[in-house]
Amino acid sequence: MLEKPDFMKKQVLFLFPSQGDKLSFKNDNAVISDKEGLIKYQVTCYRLFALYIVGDMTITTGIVRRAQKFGFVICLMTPGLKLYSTIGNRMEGNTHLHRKQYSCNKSDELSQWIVANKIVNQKTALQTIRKKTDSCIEAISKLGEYTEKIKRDLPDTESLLGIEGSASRIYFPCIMDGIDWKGRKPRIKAVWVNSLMDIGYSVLFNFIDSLLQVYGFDTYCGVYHREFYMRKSLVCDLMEPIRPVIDMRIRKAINLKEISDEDFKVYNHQWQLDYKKSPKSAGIFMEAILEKKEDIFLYIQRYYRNFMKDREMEDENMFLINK
Amino acid sequence: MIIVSYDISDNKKRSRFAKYLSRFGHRIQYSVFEIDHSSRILNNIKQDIENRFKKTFGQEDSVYILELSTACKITKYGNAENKDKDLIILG
Repeated sequence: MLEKPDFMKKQVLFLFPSQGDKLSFKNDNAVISDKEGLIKYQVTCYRLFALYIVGDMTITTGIVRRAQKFGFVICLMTPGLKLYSTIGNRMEGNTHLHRKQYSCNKSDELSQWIVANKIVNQKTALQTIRKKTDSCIEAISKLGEYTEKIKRDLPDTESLLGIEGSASRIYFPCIMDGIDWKGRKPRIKAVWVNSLMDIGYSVLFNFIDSLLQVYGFDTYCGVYHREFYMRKSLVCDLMEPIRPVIDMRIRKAINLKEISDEDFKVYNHQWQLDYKKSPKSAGIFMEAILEKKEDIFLYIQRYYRNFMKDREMEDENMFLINK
Repeated sequence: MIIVSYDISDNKKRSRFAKYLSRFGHRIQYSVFEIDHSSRILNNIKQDIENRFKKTFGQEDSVYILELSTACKITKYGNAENKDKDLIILG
């Protein structure tokens, strides 16, 4: 199983291939070559954690075999950065873990821990804002009250959904203050900022999914998010506390004019990222995630270990954005 | 970290040695392996090479084991530069 020192040396590779590009291997290196066969890039498979291919390119069975051997995942994405397939799942057959997941009777406790962690990080994200409005100061206080409420009342999943929703309703207007944003509407890309958030959360989702696969979790079996057909509920659960990392990065990117509405185009009333701007956006989000690489790894590792040993999830097991 | 660089004439001996090294590290060039582990494991590997392989190396062979510390300076060119980046975006 992957340990922290090895994980810290791992790399993430985003490929935005041109016409005729090919991904193969040579001497245990992943090789990207152009249509003439000239090597554009080479990187050792040993160091790869995830390889994202955005768009279309040719890949060989040799590189797929090496993905299995070296334990990296190949994620296939549309030009709009939407994941549609992965190759090279890491650990299959952790049946002991799967049995524990399917028979888990601690969903309420785990859900409380997840939502409390998320709200703690939302509060921290607001605290990083330099010029706080009165509503922001009030929101910070209110978010603190919500975490206390969770620890005090130990609400069930239905009540937690209400608390989470209330927290988000006061959090988002503050974190997106000063930005052309009219409310969080997931997957409805009526506003470019929402489209950008979808992309950021998608990049985060794929990263957390890859990490959970290291341990062999059944990522479709969650504890907080209800199980829907083909929805990776566990990934949705464990990425919740990390979402504020993406929110903060979006705020910074817009304020520094790294990204704007000019990077998007409108198709059928939906704002879609211009393909030429995909590398920049993917890079912005992945850099933000990798800055917290060590903490994210330890957070997932501690979740796995505590889950396997039926231990309580305490505050020190939380992922904190200001650690 | 240790770097093991070898030039072994016998094909069978060479691939056996390479297979052994690939259990602990990875190939950075055709006959050069990088092994990055704790000092305890590195000492075990060096002792293992001494016990199992040293007697099989002859005058037609050449093996170097370079022990690097954090104070050592390594300069990289070409695709070797790619190893030190957390995130690579190509396109």
